Amino acid sequence: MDAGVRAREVTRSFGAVRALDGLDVTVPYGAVTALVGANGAGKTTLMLILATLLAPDSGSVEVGGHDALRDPVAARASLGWMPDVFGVYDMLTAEEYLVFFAEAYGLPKAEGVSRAHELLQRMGLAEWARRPVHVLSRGQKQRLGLARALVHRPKVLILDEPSSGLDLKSRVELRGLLRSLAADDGAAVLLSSHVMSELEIADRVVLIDGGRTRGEWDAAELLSGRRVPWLVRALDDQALAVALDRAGVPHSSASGAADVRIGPLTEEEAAGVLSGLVEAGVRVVSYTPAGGVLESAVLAAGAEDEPDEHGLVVDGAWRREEI
Amino acid sequence: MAGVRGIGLVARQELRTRVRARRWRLLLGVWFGLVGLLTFALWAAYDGGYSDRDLGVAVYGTLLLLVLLLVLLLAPALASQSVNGERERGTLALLQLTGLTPGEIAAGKLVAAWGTGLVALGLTLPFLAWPVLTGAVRPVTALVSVLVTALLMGVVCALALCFSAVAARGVASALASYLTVFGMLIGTVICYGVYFGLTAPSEGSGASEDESRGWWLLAPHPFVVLADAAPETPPRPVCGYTTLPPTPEHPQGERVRICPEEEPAFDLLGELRETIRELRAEDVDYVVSDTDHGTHRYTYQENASGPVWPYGLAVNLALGAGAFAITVKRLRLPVKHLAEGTRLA
Ligand SMILES: Nc1ncnc2c1ncn2[C@@H]1O[C@H](COP(=O)(O)OP(=O)(O)O)[C@@H](O)[C@H]1O
Ligand SMILES: [Mg+2]
Repeated sequence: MDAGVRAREVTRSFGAVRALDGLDVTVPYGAVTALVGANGAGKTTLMLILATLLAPDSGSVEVGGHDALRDPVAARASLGWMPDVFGVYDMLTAEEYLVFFAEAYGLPKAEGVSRAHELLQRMGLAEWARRPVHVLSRGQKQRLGLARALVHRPKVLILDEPSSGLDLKSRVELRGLLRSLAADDGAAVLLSSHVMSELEIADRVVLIDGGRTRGEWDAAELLSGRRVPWLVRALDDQALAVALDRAGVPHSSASGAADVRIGPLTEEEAAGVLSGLVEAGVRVVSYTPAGGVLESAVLAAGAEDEPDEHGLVVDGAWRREEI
Repeated sequence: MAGVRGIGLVARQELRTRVRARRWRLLLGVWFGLVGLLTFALWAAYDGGYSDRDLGVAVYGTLLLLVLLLVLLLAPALASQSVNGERERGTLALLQLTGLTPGEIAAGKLVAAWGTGLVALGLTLPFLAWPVLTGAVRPVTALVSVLVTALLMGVVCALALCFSAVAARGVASALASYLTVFGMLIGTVICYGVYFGLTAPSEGSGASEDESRGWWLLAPHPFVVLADAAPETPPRPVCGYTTLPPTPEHPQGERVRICPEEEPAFDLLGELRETIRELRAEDVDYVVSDTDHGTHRYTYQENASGPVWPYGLAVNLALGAGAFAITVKRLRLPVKHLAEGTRLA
């Protein structure tokens, strides 16, 4: 398999703390891989090593087909990295910020400007191009950071806690962008999170704890055959409730703008219910598995290690990691 | 090696942030006002005692040393948080991951800091120019002295930049930078004094005392470098000691302090230069001969000892170059050792 990142047996200690203890991770092209683990599991350390910022004590790291330890310059050219804090030059506008980094990556000025506009457009920041960076909201900054990481068209994207601190809307936007980067551009995307409910972004999940890989799953595989609640929204709540009752699907009452919670259902059953609703003429606007699907699956799969006792956030709330 | 494009890119970025920050413009404004005020005060203080020409010399010498002092105090503010400030902002690692080399990043930051300092130095030129325009100070003197001031400022910028790359916190590197400047200005003098005292031959040992010992400790002092490097502002005798020819009362010859008949202008640069060269040479500067009128005539002579500034300037430039090399080294990736609690981004 052609992979954007291949790390083997990576170890790294900080004094007495063994942050990485023989960790393996592979990030394939065309997919979003989520690195999941509690605070202190070693996610940031791994990402610093993948980004050629930090030297591992031992192990091998390949990024974009280059040996990141022997030829870090080549590896760097094919990698985009977004740290868990947004680095900002306060005095620059969003456009200047991107053009500066484009030029730093060796793009000629004119090309840098057009690349900046293209990215601002794609990230939905076009109207903020001339605004100073520090007035942007957190979600906008995060997308600007993503644009910055993409400025030199890297094939590999490494994002440390990209949705930390974002509200739901920004998270959904970010998820859409990352999915499109993997699916449309064929990038190898690795993101980390200590918040399990964000896992819906991922095609693959790698669970790490204590600096070691504890498990690796295909997200679809994790979901298949598992009964979880689904969230439905339709234009007409009344029609939806009637149709669900008729089909005998248990559901919460529709109240105002909130989603109706149905199930639990397997993916197969959910697909059947959806086609039934459509046939009955219910105009469905959205239909997704409820948060917590992957999290319960991962926890079940990695149960022997009980990662949540180390502070893995399972309930969809997020908390700022201490750094 | 570092490319001009990369250096320019980093420097432009730094300068752009500075130009837009109100405090930098404010700082330069205050600077201009301060130097103007100093100049005015000097003219007022020296006025009355001297001819126009001498007044120019007096003001120029004193003002230049004050400008050097201010420049040395300004330089740490320009560079001492260049690297760790960027690290704290979270942009350093982003910069390091681009195609820019450590040399380009370091040089770009040095150029930006030094460049800002040169702008500040440039703002003092109108005040320094007057004595040159009136002919009191030779243009070559002015040129060399401003050049040396600029170089010394670059050295302090490089040192401060190095501290900013070594220390994790901006406060620490700023403090270290200022301590270094004080070390250059006061530490060298203290070291000289201590060395001179410690190496004095014990009393009654009969060993002749080498008065010139330790001069090299003073040579790197910025004031000494500046004063000694600047070509003389028309040669003029200054006060000094000499030994008179033997007389019956004084068979060894009397040691006297002599001054030219006409009190010369207070030429601070000249005085400093004489002092350091005398220190080094242990020579008497005045050749004494009898005149027809039974009085002595003192002829001022070029000091026998050579200039001191090449040593001093070389020491300073070597310090700056070493500091720059360390800065580049600290910007290399990947980082191997990470101090507890240090962040990379
Ligand atoms: N610079 C450092 N100095 C000392 N210990 C560190 C440093 N960076 C990380 N660690 C330790 O390494 C472990 C892994 O940290 P990290 O990679 O930041 O975890 P995560 O990102 O998964 O929360 C933690 O125990 C942390 O305390
Ligand atoms: Mg982390």
